Amino acid sequence: MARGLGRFWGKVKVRETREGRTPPPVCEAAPADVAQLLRLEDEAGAALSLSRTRLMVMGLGVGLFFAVLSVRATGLALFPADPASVPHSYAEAPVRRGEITDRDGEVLATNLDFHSLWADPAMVWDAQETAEQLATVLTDLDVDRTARMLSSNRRFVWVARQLTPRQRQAIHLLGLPGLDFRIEAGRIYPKKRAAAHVVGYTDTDLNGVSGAELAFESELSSGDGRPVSLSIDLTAQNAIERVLRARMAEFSAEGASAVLMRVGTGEILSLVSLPDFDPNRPSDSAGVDRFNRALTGVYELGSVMKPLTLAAALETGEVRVGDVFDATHPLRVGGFTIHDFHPERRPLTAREAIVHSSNIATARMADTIGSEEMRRFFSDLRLFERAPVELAESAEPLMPARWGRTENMTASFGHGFNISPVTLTAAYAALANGGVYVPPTFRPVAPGETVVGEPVMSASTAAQVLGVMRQVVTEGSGGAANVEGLAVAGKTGTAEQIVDGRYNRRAVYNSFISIFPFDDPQYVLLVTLYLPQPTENTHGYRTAGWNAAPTAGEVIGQLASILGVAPREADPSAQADLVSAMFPPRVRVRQGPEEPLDLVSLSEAEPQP
Amino acid sequence: MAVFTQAVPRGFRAKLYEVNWAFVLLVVLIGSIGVGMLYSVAAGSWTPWAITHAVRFGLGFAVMLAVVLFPPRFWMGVAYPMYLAALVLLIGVELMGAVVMGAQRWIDIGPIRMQPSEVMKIALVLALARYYHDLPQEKVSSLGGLLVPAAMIGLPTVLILKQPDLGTALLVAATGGVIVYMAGLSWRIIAGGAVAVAVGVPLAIRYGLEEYQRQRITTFLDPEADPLGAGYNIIQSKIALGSGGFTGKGFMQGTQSQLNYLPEHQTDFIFTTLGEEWGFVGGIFVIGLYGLLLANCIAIAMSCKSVFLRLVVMGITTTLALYVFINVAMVMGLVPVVGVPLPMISYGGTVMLTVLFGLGLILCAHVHRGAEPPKGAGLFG
Repeated sequence: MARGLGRFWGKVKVRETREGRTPPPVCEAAPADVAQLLRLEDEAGAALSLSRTRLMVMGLGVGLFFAVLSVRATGLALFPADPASVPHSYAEAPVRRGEITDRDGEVLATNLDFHSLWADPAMVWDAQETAEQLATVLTDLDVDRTARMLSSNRRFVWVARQLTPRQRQAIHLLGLPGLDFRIEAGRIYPKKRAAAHVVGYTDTDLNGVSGAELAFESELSSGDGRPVSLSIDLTAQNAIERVLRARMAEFSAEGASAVLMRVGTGEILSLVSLPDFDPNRPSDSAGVDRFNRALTGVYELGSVMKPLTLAAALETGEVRVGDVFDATHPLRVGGFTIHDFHPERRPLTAREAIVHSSNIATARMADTIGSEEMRRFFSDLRLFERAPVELAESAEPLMPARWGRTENMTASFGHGFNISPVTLTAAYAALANGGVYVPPTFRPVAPGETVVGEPVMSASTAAQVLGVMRQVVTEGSGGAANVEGLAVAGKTGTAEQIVDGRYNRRAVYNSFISIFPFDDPQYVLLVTLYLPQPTENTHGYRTAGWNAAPTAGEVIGQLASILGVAPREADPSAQADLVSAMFPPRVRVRQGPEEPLDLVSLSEAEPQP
Repeated sequence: MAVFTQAVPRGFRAKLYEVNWAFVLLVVLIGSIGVGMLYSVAAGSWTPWAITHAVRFGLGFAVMLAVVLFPPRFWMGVAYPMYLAALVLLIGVELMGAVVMGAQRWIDIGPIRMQPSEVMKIALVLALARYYHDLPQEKVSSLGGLLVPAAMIGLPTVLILKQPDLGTALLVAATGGVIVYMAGLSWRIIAGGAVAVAVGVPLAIRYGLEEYQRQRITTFLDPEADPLGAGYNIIQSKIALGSGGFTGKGFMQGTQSQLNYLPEHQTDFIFTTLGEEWGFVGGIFVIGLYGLLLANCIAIAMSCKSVFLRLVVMGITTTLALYVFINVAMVMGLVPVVGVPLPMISYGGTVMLTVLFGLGLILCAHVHRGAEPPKGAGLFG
């Protein structure tokens, strides 16, 4: 063969070279050669016209290809395929489960037909060989188990469910007898992990198991084909998730969560819980990944509760923001000693108690108004019940058996009772909403839609507490969340967790509750880091001011443009005073009709800070 | 005769002057769209696909221009050796595939990973073109003139089928068939062959095979063999052009770039992203670019004087047209899903190289369209 090849190489070369170097001009050819050339020309001409015809046919063929493609493209553009209207190639098409979308219609859950592989063992030739062949495609297939199944006496066994198109094709090409595919309706989550805890997932029979899939089951399975839209804003959700994921890694935290709520409508725009999971394959994730920290988790949230205690105190009318509470010494009560983390060791005004986050002064404040008032106020804020959202995951709080003097004082700084982050966020949304509580919801509220709320505190109390929370950010521990131009009001919380029956300084759940912009409250954001560790950047500290607050600040900075919050130009602290002046404190009238307020004497009574 | 006196350019610069730059522009345009789409699919990132794609396109482009510079007689000379080498590689894959478990389509030669079936796509075109170039026209429909090309097409087709890679096998067979047709096979034989296949294959399946063999083949030809199912294709089409609407969502605005659930959205399904982001207008534009390119190819085929060049051009044009058609039709839900990429736009190295090499041959044919390499005297004559 090699010799043959050599010969033919040589031949081509020699001929070409000769012709190339001295091309024989046509006119110089001898008459006999001319005759031969003419014959060749005729032959070539015939061949040429033949192939031209055939080329035309080919050209037409290719043209037809493209015509078909263009017609199809036009058809698709003019009449977008509606899954419900397109006839299916199989008769038993199931009723389509509704899609789940975010507030802007981005699809979070939709349907997809999967191919599942089943076998008729009686028709399988060699069970062992079949199983081994399948394992070349399905890498996680248990060969021994499958071989046993394939040699059983049954006439129908599932071999693998929900194959990818590639796997299906590959198995198809193996051409193994006794195997066949069955089309099964499946559920897919195109945004994968995004908002996975809110969207939830279904079982293989398409019954909702968790999240919106479970909560809106009847609506989704009604078969009317209408999507269920959620209040979630996917862009905000993604932004928060990205920040939290990075910060969780930075602080080596065990988890992180965030709740973003719109003031006035109660819409939950984002709910992030990390670690998360891919609802497309929920069984691949650990149970803890599927746990919704923001909704199912109930925690002692710590100092983020203090502004609510101040609100309770102001609301009774017995306490003003200038009232002084002694925080010189630790406070002994009922066998406990209440310490301050950063002791000021002096008497503090109610305002300073919050800004310096004094446990002692806040506890004294709660003690002043009594457990009855505190309990009534907290229960008005729905802190003692499960967050009234649609999702079944919303957990009941954990309450002490009795709410005595001690429990009242520890509750004032967020210890001794456990609530979910969503519950706390909804309470602060009431504060931000001029004192009107609006139940949190996972459904979008249309513009102009009436939302029923319930007044739980006066607008004046709300405004004053907001002002104090603004000062936490400008002067206190929330400085890291002071995003320029956004007038953030907030409060940090570093809650030690009970490890082996004792509060452990090294095991903390850190939160930052924020309301922005504080002069026109639109959004409430609660960010929580679970078991963050100190880093070089935090100078060894693990308190919320060093991790939760900067995380919240970063989130708010990103949200401003996503949510379209206009930056503030005026000096926000000047506005804090302005708001306080607009809502002077007033005496709460507990019984009977409200009496007109004596604004002059009240504003005189209020010492200016 | 005009065709006889047409000058064949010699020398590097003369050849570059003759290059069809409209053709080159179309190729560059399509390649750039590929880079842009891959940039978008990665959510506005050059990694992991766009930059590699750009580099590969650059390399392929250099190869394309290099191919142009070789004279047709060079390609005629390498036609048979290349074909034999590809055949040996395919057999090698078959043997190694028996040793290594499962399907194997790749051969590692040092750092280069190559797919013999891809080499075969080009080699078969060259070899068949060479064969018909040497064969006198009146012998095309003779027995010998039928059997040799049948073997040349059949051998690689069967080997690729055994890998198993049905899609590529059909592509190779179809390309070979088109060359035989272009060579001027008599219509009577074409019609006869069609009838024989239509009658013979079902008969052979019915009576010539054991039960289990039959089941293998019927599984193969299962009318429901659409591997994705109607529902998936419908969703594909809907996403591809329905959601893009008329003008699309805009560059990098497609949710597709976040939709990792789509299998192969950077390779075989890239047209989906294109349809979503640029809509009907974008889709038609890209289809139009390919259409112009292919029309150009056919025009080049028409201008070629020698049988060899004409058949090479038509063979490669067929492969390219089938790539584009099958890929786009698949994405639009017209044909079942087979793994066929969109040339120069889909991510993937071997195919890019094959396609640009092939396009180089077409350009080479254009530059040397006036050349008339002499006929050889048969296979090894």
